[in-house]
Amino acid sequence: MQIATRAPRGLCRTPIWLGFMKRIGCLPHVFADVHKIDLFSNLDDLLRKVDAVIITAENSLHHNYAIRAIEYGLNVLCEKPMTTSLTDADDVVRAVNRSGVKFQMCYVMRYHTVTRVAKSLLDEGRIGKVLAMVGSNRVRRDLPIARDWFVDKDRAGGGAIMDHTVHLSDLMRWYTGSEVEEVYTVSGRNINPNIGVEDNFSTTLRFENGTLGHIDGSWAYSSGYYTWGRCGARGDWERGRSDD
Amino acid sequence: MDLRVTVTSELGVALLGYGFMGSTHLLSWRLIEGCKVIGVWGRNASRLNSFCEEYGVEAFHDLDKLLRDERVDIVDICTPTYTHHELTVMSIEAGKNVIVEKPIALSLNEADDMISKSRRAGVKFMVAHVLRFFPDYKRVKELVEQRSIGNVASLRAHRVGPAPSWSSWFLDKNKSGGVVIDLAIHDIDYFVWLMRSMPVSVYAKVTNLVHKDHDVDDYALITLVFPDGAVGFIEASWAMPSSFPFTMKLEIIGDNGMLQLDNRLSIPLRMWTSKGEETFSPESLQVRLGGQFLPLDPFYRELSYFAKCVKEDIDVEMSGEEARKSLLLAIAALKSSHSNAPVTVSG
Repeated sequence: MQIATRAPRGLCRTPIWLGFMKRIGCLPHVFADVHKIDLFSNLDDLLRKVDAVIITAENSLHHNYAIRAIEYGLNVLCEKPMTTSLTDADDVVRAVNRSGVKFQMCYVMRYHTVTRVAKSLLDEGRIGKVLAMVGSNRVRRDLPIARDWFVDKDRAGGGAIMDHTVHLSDLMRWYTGSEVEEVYTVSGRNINPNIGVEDNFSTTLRFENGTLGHIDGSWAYSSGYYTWGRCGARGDWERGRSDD
Repeated sequence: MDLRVTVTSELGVALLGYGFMGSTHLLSWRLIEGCKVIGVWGRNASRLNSFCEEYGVEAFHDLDKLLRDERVDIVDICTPTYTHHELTVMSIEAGKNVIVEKPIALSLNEADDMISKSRRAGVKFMVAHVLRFFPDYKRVKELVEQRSIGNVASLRAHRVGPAPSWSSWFLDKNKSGGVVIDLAIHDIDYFVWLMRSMPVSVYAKVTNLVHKDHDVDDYALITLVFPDGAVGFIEASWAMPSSFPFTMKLEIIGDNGMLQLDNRLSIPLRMWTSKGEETFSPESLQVRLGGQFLPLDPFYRELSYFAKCVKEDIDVEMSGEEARKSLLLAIAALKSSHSNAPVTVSG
């Protein structure tokens, strides 16, 4: 059940649902052709044939697709953000718990080599207890506007805050094993005035265990340069630091 | 900025303080044509003697005697922050021009007193916010003024390292003010200078991460919102391991490009615009003076500037009023952290 132009390698035999044919013209056909996969114009037909579903559609559709897949007893891997509202997210969690299917979020940053190395250093206690973290996700200013739904508040669920915070807050929760207790966010004047969502922000976090965090996210970088999933942790009495 | 000092007669300098900044300033004064260090004063007699012996300069154990010395035109105050007010006022009252290390003082009341007394006395008064004299930071300011990256929308600064190892007073809140008033104030001042405006609100988390046996803040995350909606973020830390190199990073994003500065890179400054990437080597950041390159050293440039202001009766750009702004914002950051809420800045 994916509509994307870049298919995960190894999943190319997975049938995809042709749900957007009218909306996005010939793209599904091109996609199916390139990856040699079947197209379905009826979602139920597809769901009856598969064991698992990967949801990579635009954010506002995650909830509906997940619920329908779960109703068929299918395991779900869902792109971030989970949904575009907490109510919808709670709904998905309840459905998963009722049905007993596997549900996982695509928090891909947990799978980067460097973030895994950092995690193992932290778990080994190499810098002691984590006391503070600063993270940044800054991508090129032209990237988001290459996809129209990405800068549509209703379909994406928000702008740069929604796009980046889920990644870095997940990374920080993973590193600390603690939940966020206090949040302060301010989004600055847009670098790109022609989009209807915020394109930069500064977020300060305090976790339940006292750890401080900062997230700097934007779609503001000039072309040819970006940082993604950068997170430095400042540790305690052993006083170490892992950067990037 | 033309840093040439017109030499008519020699300017005499009295140096107060024999610590890390004292020696740094002394070495710079010696390179500045037309200036001469008359003597050094410090509270501890034996430390003063060994300092003056090491550097071959006259020790003054009596501060009044040094301040009354007719050869002295400039008093350079490099003592711990909690002494700035008292020593500045004494020097002003002796009719001397004063350059005092940053931060100006620990409280706004002290700062106001220093400012009004320097005005009444008609002496030059400068606060040594040295970042403004760093070649790379100065170039960033010039590039922004030339509108190379368009209107600034986002600013970010990291100033992180271990706590100063050269002196113990930094880790006493009552003497240094802690990591915000002593360290973050560098970037606060720089942001205000770059944006040519005061932020309208300040939010901060300020805490003691690792110096549990000291009553001092060693880590700060500060967010400043400017009147035009631009947002500035500062991370300041004395909480890094002793093996961690002192690091200063700056990133300025404008609507037409961006600038990045990193003191740990061999190319410390880079700019990206629609025209492509431009790099600035340390050599390219030097200032030419009559066919010769000035030393890159920011302290040399800072003290030369003050000597020029005194000599040629020029208004000091880095004035007490200017320094008061960053102290006010630093105090607002501490208030925000204590109250768990953003603080509105007025005036």
